[in-house]
Amino acid sequence: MHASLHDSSLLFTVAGDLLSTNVATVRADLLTALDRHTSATSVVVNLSAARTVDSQGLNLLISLLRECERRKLELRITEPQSQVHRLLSYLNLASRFGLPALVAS
Amino acid sequence: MKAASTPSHLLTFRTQGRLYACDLLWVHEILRQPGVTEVNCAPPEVLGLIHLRGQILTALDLDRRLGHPPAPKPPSARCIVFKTAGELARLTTPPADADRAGNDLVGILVDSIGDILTTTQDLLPPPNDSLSKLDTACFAGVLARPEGLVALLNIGHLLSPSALAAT
Amino acid sequence: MSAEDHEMLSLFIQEAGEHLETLEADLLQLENNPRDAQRLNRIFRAAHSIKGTAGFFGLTPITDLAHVMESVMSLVRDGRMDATPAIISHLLTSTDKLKLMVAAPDRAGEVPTLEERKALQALLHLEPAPPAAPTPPPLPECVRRFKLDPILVGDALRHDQNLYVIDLRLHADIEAQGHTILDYLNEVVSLGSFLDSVTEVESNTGLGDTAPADLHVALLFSTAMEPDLLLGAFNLPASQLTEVPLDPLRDWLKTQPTLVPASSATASGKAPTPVSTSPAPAPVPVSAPAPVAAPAPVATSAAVVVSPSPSSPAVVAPPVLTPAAASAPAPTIPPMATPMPGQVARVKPEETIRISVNLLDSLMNLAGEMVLGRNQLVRLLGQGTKAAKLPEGLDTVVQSINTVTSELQRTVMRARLQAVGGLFGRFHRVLRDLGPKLGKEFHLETVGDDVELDRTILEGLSDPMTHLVRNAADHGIEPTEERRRLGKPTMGQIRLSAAHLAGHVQIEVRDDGRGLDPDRLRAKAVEKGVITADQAARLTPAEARALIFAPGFSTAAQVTDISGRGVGMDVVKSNIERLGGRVDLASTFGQGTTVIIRLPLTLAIIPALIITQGGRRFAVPQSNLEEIIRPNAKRALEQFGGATMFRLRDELLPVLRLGTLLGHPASESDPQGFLLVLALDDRRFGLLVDSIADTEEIVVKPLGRHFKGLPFYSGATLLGQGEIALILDPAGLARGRLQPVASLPKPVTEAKNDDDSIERVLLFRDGPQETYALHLANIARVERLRTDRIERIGTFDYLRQANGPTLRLLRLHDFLPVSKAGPLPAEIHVIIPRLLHHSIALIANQILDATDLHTAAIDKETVKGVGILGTLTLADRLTTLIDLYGVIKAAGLAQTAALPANRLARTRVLVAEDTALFREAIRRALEGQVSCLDIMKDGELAWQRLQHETYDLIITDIEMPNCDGFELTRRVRADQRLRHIPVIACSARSSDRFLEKARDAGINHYETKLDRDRLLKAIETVLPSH
Repeated sequence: MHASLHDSSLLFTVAGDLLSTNVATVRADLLTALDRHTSATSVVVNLSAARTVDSQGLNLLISLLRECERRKLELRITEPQSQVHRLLSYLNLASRFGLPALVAS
Repeated sequence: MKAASTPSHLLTFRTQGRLYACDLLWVHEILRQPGVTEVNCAPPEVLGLIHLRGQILTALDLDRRLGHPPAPKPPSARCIVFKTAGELARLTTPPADADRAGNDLVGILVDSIGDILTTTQDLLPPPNDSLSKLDTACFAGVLARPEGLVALLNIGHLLSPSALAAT
Repeated sequence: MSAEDHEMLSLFIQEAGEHLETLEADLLQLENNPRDAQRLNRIFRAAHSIKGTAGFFGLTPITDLAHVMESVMSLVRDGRMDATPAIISHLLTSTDKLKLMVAAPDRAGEVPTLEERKALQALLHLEPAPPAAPTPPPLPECVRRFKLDPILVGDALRHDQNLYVIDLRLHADIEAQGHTILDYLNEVVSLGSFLDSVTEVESNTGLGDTAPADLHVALLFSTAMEPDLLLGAFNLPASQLTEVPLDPLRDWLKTQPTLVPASSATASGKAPTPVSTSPAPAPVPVSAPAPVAAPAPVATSAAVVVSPSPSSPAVVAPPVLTPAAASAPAPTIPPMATPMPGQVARVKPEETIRISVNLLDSLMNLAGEMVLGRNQLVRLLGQGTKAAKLPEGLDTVVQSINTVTSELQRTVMRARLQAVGGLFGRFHRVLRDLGPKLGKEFHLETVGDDVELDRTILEGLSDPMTHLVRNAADHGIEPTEERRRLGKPTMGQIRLSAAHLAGHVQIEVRDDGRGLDPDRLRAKAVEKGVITADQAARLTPAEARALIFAPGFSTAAQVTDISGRGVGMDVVKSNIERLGGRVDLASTFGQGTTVIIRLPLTLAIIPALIITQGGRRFAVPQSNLEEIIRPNAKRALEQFGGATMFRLRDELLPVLRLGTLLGHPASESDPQGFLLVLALDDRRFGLLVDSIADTEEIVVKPLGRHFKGLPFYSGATLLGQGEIALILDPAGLARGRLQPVASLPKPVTEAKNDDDSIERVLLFRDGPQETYALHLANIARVERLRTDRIERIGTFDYLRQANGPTLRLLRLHDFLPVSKAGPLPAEIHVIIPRLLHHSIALIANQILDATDLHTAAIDKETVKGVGILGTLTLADRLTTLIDLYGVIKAAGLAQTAALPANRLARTRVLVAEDTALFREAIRRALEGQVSCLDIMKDGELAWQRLQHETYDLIITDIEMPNCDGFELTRRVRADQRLRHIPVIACSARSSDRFLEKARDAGINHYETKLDRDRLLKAIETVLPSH
């Protein structure tokens, strides 16, 4: 996972799927980045590389959501692949990540 | 024939060593290695038919059309396909002779394609006497160029069935 | 989506588009007069209508916006709000958004409408709150955590569904069982309607929590399924499935403030359900627009369209043209020889669009090429299946491409049709001007102005028709004085008629003038050297009349300028033949002449036989081709003087060699090859060619200007690999090359005065007992095939063709009163008729011969029945002459199936509905089910109809312009004669207030639009039982 700071926006680019196998690492990276870039006011997570998100991955995203709430940071997900987007829509989470709800057919 | 004015962009081409030009606005596209299907009992200037993306166009032999004795076409031969009346109508300033255009696609087979000239050079009237055997109405004039005399063709007239040839 | 749904969707786009046009105009006008009640009503109804029809297709983004517009307009219309400029602005921008969405319904979700909806909703909230309802009953505990959408809940209740709450632990219940979450949820969603979900996030403390608990998700879900089935489907313990008590929900629904109309059922009967996602609660659910990440066929954004089978509208381009109706005959229409600049004459201007002729021709070309591509695709697929290893589902895809291509071709062809009335109408003026010049008076009658022909045919008809009409005026009709003496009406009667007959169009030019004198014609022909005196003597009257078509023949004393430039009837004939048609003459000397022109319905695609000559391929139009013969030692070509002939039964057929005609070097000694028997209007000849290939449907491409003088070719076509093949014109090949031969068969339809005629038929058998005859003119071709190629579906047999539609195979013994033929042998013949509308073929197990029969010999009395024209004895055998159209009728193909034998079948139904889309839907739902179905566009018209017709049932819309459903019902109930008739109301609205109003008016049953099954059930319910 790649993290960078643009103005006051912290951009996380996830390198691939978010699964039980790698969530621990990603979580650690997220925490480190958040702790380092205290000037950030918003967080953007680019999920374009994530084809699958399993329940652990979802948990991680929710953890990030709660974390950002705690730190008073805006949180957005960008460029989700359609199946991930759809999953978030089903779970009524899309809007909390700044995503519109999506068609599921 | 009175000297017409020179169009600003010309396509030049060559057949049997003779140089010709036409108003670029008339040109639809240029085909290489066009496969020509012969049509028996067609007028002599008609080489045959060419299939172009679902349409059938009439291919004329430039030499025959003008009245020169015909010669076989080299492998570098190209077919210059001209615009139809409908396509010409869409231009803001259609070329001279556009009123003679038809709705069918017609092209001429030439030996080779030359350069595109951008010129404001004056047009000389076509010499009448030496071209007496030919269909003089096809000529708009002559350009004197370093590489030789270039005959500017009236495409509208050229593409119309020749009055000379007996059907 | 089915073809029907496609049609319905394009109807919707058209209709909605029209509504939006008037809507915008009305809104603009409203600013000048904000209280104009009629205008307000119109605006309201436009929004209402769009909402209703969009709902029918599940186009939620459109429905949502239209709904909120409608709500605002309802208040304005009722006087509870003023139409301020600000409000009108909002409505106008909303209309703009609607236009965008309607233009491309599948991408309607991409159009941002949030601003407009927020603005309009804000207006709704300004409305004083309705009187405080009694404290709303508490919602059941299990649903309190959800956001309930009254529309969805109401819909679910109305459809008798159950509501469930499903509690899921994402890992334990889904992943641990081996599913992915998305797959699982997709499946859940497919079993019913997804109303809302809640994912429990509160227990998560943030990134610091290294081992968060399994995620809990609760789903609110409606479905018709029973709990135990659901548990099985979801593989859940019963404790995680909670059934929601419905009565408290019903109570809760009643208290919802905003009038929430039920969203109309989609075609599959399931309601589209938006997932409410916006965090702020709103009384009317707002679906946020969403860009669709991957292009999906369904694009109703923010809506979870739930149905087991996709009912999503596919992309349908709005129809470009609708067929032309007759334009009023106007004497000043310019000559049709110059193509009309892209205008399609119409009766109702708002349903048309102008299109350039070039664009249309491009469409034609492309459609034609698509047909070729499709043919090749089907052919390759046929080869491919033998090789196996084709991707799964490929042939289904090809089948649908097949269907769409045929449909596209047919539709594009229709776009080229123009009414013949435009051409006919010119002649009023022509004759009016000719009258004084000739010292005669004329009366022109035109019949069949509505008949449509391909544009190019109409253009090609212009010159010949002009000549024929002028001819009739000049030579046919006598001077006024002479007519008076003869006791004829002083005005010469000229009648132009057009009619569709089987597979072609028949145009007649009839005059009641002098008629043709066979003797004079004979004399003239001899004088002109067209025939010898000897031959002239042997001509029958019909043949003598036909001399008029001979080249260079003219009976006029001088070729007058009026009859046109010395153009003779032979040029008329060749012009018509060049269009693929035929010309016939009928005339009675002293009484008049009728020229009969028969033209093919479409020009562009014709069946043709592909042949090879001199190594090159050519196409011969099927319409001229009667037989193919292989000359051999026993049946050889013979030489008579300089002419080659072939003895065909008892006829001597002149033979032309294609190679010679084309100028190929001849190989005289070569008798090989194939002889094509080609029929022209009045004669036949044989064409010798090197070899023959298949019959194909070819796209006719016209040849350019340089080929105008060439008689041999009528066009060119592109064959499979892009190879150009010229299309031969039999008339052109024969012109001037055939000597008239004495014993020729007479034309198929004879002049009215002759009792007997000779017709060519094909004799065949199906079984050992029966011999049948079928007119050759009806037959496109005969094929031989192995019986194992026949595919049986249900009780019907089908034959799939490589290039062509699938044919239903008919055995005559199934439809005619004839003896049973027995099982089929391994190889049979199929006779494929020349029919445009039915893809059928007759099975024959033995083809006997083609022969002539005399119509006078047909016995029409002894054996009768549908499908039988008569019987006669041919070559000592009793032969049954088949009426092809009767067979089609008997096979049940010509009409809808027999009415179901139940109450419905005896019911006469009157419908009042102002929306074309729903009229169409009702028609499809009920046609064939009831004994009479009359559909009126408005309540007032329905009321008028009730005055003179009897009905057993009335189905009415509520919102209609001149007399709405309530008013209509009230009138019916107040009328002694009519008051007993049950009334079913169909409407998109369904609030309680409406239901009450409906009951007060006397409506028996209230149904939402438009569920066919529910409607039929409702009808059965309200009809009195007897």
